[in-house]
Amino acid sequence: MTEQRFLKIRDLTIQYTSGGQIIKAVNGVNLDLDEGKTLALVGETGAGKTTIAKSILQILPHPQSKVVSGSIELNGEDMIKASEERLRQIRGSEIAMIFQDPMTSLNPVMTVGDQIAEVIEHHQDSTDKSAIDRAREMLELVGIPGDRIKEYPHQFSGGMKQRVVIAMALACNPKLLLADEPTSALDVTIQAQVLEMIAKLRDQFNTSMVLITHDLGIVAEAADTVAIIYAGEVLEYGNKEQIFHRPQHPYTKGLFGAIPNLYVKARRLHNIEGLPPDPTNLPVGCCFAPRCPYAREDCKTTKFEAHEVEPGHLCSCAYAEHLED
Amino acid sequence: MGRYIRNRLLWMIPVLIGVAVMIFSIMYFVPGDPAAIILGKEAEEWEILALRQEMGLEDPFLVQLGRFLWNALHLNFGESYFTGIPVIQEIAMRMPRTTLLGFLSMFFTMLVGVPLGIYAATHRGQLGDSAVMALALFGVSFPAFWMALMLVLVFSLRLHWLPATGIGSWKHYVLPVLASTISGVGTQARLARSSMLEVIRSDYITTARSKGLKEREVIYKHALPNALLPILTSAGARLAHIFGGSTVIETVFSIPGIGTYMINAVNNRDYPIVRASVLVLAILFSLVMLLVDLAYAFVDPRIKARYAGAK
Amino acid sequence: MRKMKFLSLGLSALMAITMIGCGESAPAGTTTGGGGGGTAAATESGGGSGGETANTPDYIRNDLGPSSFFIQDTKIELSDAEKQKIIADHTDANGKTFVTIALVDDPGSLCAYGSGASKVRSVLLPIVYQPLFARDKLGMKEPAPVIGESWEYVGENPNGGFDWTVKIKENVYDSAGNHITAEDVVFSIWEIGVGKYNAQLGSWCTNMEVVDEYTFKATMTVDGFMTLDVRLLSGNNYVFSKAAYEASPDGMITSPVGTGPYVLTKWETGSTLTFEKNENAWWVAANDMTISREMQNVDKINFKVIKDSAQRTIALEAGEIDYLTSVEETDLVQFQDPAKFTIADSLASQRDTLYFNASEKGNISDVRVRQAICYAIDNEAIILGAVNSGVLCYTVGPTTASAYNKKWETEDYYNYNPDKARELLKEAGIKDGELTVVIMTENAPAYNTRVAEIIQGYLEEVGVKAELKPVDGALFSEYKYDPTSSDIIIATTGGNADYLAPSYCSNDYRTKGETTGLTHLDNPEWTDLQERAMVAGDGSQLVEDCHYYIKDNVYGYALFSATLHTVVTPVITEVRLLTGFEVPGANKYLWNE
Repeated sequence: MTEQRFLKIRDLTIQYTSGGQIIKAVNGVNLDLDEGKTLALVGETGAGKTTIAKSILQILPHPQSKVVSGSIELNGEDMIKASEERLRQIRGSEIAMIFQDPMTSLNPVMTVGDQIAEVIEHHQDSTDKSAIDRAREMLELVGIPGDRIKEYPHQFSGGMKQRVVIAMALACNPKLLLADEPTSALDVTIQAQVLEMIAKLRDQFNTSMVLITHDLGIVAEAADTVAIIYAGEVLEYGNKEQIFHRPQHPYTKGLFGAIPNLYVKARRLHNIEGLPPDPTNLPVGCCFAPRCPYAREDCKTTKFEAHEVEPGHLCSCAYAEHLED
Repeated sequence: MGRYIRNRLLWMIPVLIGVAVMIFSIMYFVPGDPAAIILGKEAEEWEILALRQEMGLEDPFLVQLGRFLWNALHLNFGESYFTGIPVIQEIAMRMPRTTLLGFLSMFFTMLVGVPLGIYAATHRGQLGDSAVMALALFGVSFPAFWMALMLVLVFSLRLHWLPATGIGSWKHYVLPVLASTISGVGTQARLARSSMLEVIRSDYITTARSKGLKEREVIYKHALPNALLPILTSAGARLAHIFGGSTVIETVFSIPGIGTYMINAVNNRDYPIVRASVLVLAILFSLVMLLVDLAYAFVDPRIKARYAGAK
Repeated sequence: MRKMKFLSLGLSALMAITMIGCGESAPAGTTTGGGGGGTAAATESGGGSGGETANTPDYIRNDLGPSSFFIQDTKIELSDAEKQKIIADHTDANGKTFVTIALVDDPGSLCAYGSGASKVRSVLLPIVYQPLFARDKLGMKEPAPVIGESWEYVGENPNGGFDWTVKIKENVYDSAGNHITAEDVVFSIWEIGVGKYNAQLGSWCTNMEVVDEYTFKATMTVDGFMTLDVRLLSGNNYVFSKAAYEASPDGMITSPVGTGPYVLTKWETGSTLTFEKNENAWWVAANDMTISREMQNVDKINFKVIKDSAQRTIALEAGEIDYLTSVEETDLVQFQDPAKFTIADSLASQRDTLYFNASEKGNISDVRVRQAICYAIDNEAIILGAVNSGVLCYTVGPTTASAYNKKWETEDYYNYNPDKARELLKEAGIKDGELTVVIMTENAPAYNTRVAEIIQGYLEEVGVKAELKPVDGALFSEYKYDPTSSDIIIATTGGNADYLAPSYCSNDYRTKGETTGLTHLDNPEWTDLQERAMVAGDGSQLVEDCHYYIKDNVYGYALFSATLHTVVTPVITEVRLLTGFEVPGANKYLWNE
C-alpha cells in the first residue's frame, strides 16, 4: 500500500509520561482512509481512539505526550513532521475536530457567533462582517435560527450545542472531520438528529470523516470502513460489511456477541471476561491474549502481524481462521 | 442589570446599620474609660464621673445608641474626645491616602501577579514555573513590615534614592506600595496559576486549539477570561486585606491614613473616631464588593444573566 | 515537591540569617559620652550618687545628670570647611538656619489645652506658648518669672479656699501683636483650660478672676505656696490672647497663636510641622528672662512625624534628622562614630515604681510580706535586665527636688537580701509556695513587662509565686483602682520634678477608701499626714515623715530611673533637655559660635 491515499497512518506509536511511568497509548497503528469516506474507530474506553484522532491534528498535550514513531500523511503531507505554523493553518480549515461533551466544548464567555466567526476569520481573509454572516449561515445550516449568533452557549440545550460545534467545525469546509464520540453525551432522539445532520453535511460537502465511537449501531449507520482498536493496536480492519458479517478477531466477535438480541430472550448480556490491560504494563505477546477464550500458548509470547483474511480485510489474530480447532 | 445594582445598594443600608450597631455595642462593652484617659493619672473618681456625664457616657445604652445612629444618619460623627477635631474632617483628609495606597497596591499586585501566574501555568513543570513559584513563596513568607524595613534599609539608607517616611511627593508612595505589593504578588501569582491550569484543561481550550488558533490567542482570548473569576474574587479579598492591614504599612512609613487613625483611637477609647472609621471602611468594602460582583457580570455572561434574571 | 521543601528551608535559613545579622546586640552599658564634651557642664547632679561602693557596676550611671534639667556640650572637632558645609546644609533658600527633629506622633491639636499625644505636645507647646513662671535649673527655690511677675498671699476666702493674687508683666505681646492682660490670662487658663478642657488646675483651684489690668486672683483649695507653685505658677498653664483665640477658626487647634519664641508656619497633619522664629519676641533676652525656653538659637525648626522607632533610627543614621532622644540601647551601636554622632546620656525623670495593694482584698495586706517582697528583689539586676543602664532610687519622689535628702541613699532601702525576705515571710506565717501575688503592668513603656518577669524570678527564689498581668493603657486606668484586680502594680511615675510632696501625696497613695489610691486602704492617720504635708510644703519635717511612712508601710517602692540616650549630629554643639524633652531653640548650634 504505497500509493497516496487521502489519509495514511503508518506504524503510529504514541506514549504518555505521567508520574514517572510510561503509558503506551498507541502501539504501531496502521490506518487508511479514502476521500469522501468515513472510517469508524471502535473500541472500549481507553483503547487509544481519541489519542489517534488528536494526533492527526497534533493537539496532544505537549510535555506529557510523545510521538515515538510513525507517520500520519494527509494527501502526502506528514502531520508529525509539519511545522507548528503549517499545522495551525491546517487545523480548523483542512482538518476539524468535534469532541465528545458539547456542554464543555464551547467557551462559556463568548457568543456562539463569535466562536464560529473566529475560525472563519482566522483561516480566510474576511472582514468582520462577512465572517459573522457566514457564521449565521452555518447556524442556519445546522438548523438553528441565525439570530441566535448573539447568544451564549449556556442559552442552548445539549443537542443544539453540539450542532453549534458541528457548525464551527464545518465553517471552513474542511476536507477531514474528526468526530470523537459526537453523540455519546446526548440522548437517543437527539442522537439520531445529529447523526442525520452530520451525514447530510458530509454528503453536501464531500467531507471525509474519522468517527470514533463505541456504539456499533452508529457504526452501522454512518461508517464505510471500520477499525477495531484495543490497547492501542488495530486488531481488525475492513469495510462495514466485512466486519459486521464476517468478524474474524475473537475480540470483534466478543463485541458483537455483547449486543443484546431483540429476538432472543436473554437474562444476562454476554460480556468479554476480564478487563483491558494496564497501558503501563502491556502484556508480552498478543495484547488480547489474557482475555481471549481461544488463546494458545504462543499467543502469550508472540506478537503477530496483521494479515489479510480477504481483500481489504485485515486481522491481527494469527489463528483467526482456525479458532474452532 | 440596573435593578441588580439598585438592589445591592439598597442592601447596603441594613448592612451599614448593623455594622454601626455592632461597633457601637462593642466599644460600649469593652473595658477602658475615655474620660479617665483624658483626665490623666491624677484624676479623682468624681471628676471622671463628672466628665463622663458631660460626655454623655452615663446615659443608658439605648439612649446613647439612638443618639449615635441619629447623628450618623446626618453624617455627624462628632469630634475626637482628645483633639476636638471633627472626625469627618480628619477622615476626609486621611481617606484618600489610605485608598490611594490600597488601590495602587492592588493594581500593581494584579499587574505583576496575574501575568506571572499565567506564565507559570503555561510553562508548567519547566524552569519558568519553578522560578515564579519560588518568587511567590518568597513574597508570601516574608511579613509586610519586615519587607518594609528591608526596603527602607536598602533604598533610603544605603542608596538614598527614596524617602523613608512621610507623604508629600509621589516618591513617598513608592516604598509603601512596593512593600504591600510584594507580599500580595505571591498569593496572586499562585492563584492565577492554579486558576489558569484548571481552565487550560478544559475542553473548550482543546476546541480552540483544534481551530488552529495561535497559542497566545488560546491563552489570552479563551483561557484568561474564564480564569478571571477566581482571580477577581481574590482581588476583592486582597483589597479588604490591604485596607485592614494598611495600619502596619502606615505606621512603618508614618503615613497619616485611616489605619493609624483608627488604631490610636482604639487605644485611647476615642469612640467617635472608632465608630466613624469602622463605618467608613464598611462602606468602602461594600462598594468594592459590589464592583467585584459587577466585574464578574462583565466577564461571565452566565452571571450577568443571573443578575438580570433572578434578582 | 522536593524542590519546594528545599526552597522553603533555604528561605527560612535566609530569613534567620538576616535577623541575626541585623540585630547585632550592643554590649550593655558601654555607651560613652561620645567624642567631645565630657564634663557635664552645669548639671548640679542632684541624684543618684548614692551608694558608691568600690564595686558599683558600670551600668549604674551615678555620673549622669537628670534629664529634667540637662545641658551637655556635644561639640565635635571639625575643620572649618566641614563646619561651613554643615551650616550650609542647615540653611534654607532664604538664608534661615534650621534643624530637623523627629516626633513620635502627630500632636493632633496644638491648642494649649487638651489631651492626647501628650509626649509630643510637651515638646511642641512650650515652643509656641509660655506659662506664667518656669524653672529651668536644679535647686531653684522659687520659679522664675516668664509672663507672670510676682505673687502675693491674700488670705482665706470666706467661701472656702485660699486666695492669692498674681501680677503679670506689662509688656507681654503675642506673635500677632496682641497685648496680654490679666483678662487674657484668666480667659486662657480658667475659661478655656479648666472650663473647656478640664485641665488639672481645676482640681486645685475653685476660681480665678481679674483684679485689674495686670493682676488676677486665684482661690486654691489647699493652703501653702507649694500647691500654688506646682499647680498654677509652674504648672503648664499657657497664656494666650482672648482676641486671638476668638479669631481662630477652630479654637487654636490647628492655628495656635502664642507669646513664645516660635510660630507655627506649616503643618501637614501626620507628616511635618514647621516653626519659625517669632520676630515679635516681646522679651529682651538675658534682660527680661533667664529661662532656656525663650532662646531662639535657630531660625526654623522642622519636625518630622516618624511613628516607627526603627524608622526614626534609620532617619538619624541617614542624616534626615539631627536629633533623637529615647534611643534604645541596642540601637546605639549605629551611632558609635564620634565624627558623625554624639551620644548624650541623662537620667530619665520617670521612676519605675511598685505600688502595693495593702488592703484585705489583696494577698499582701501584712506589711511584713510587702517588706519581704522588696528585700527579695535585686534592683541592680532589674536595671541590667530591663533597661541596660540606669540608677537606683531611694524614694518614690523626684531626686531633682531641692528638698531631696541625700541621707536617704545611705539608709537601707530594702536592699537586696533574700535571706531577710525569707525570714520575714516565715514571721508572717507564709509557707514556701503558699502565696501567689498578682502583678499588673501597663504595656508602656515596654520594659515594664521585662521588669515584671525579673521580679517574678526573684520572688520565686524566696518561695512566692507571681502571676503576671500586662494590660494596655486604657484597661490599666480602669483596673488600677479596683482592689481585687492586682496585688502589685508596676508603673512609671514622673510628674513634678521640683517638689517631693506632690509625689507623696498624689492620688496613688491616697487612702480615703478602697477605690481611691492604689493602696486601696482607708487610713485616716496617713490621710491627715498627707494633707498637713501638702500645706506645709517641701522642706518641712512633715514631708520627710511622708517619705518614711510610705517606706515603712511599703505603700510604694521605687526601683530605678533609666538612662535616657540622646543622639545628635554635629550641627548641635550643646544639647539641652527640660523635663526630659528637647528644647530645640535652646540648643547651641554651629552657627551660634
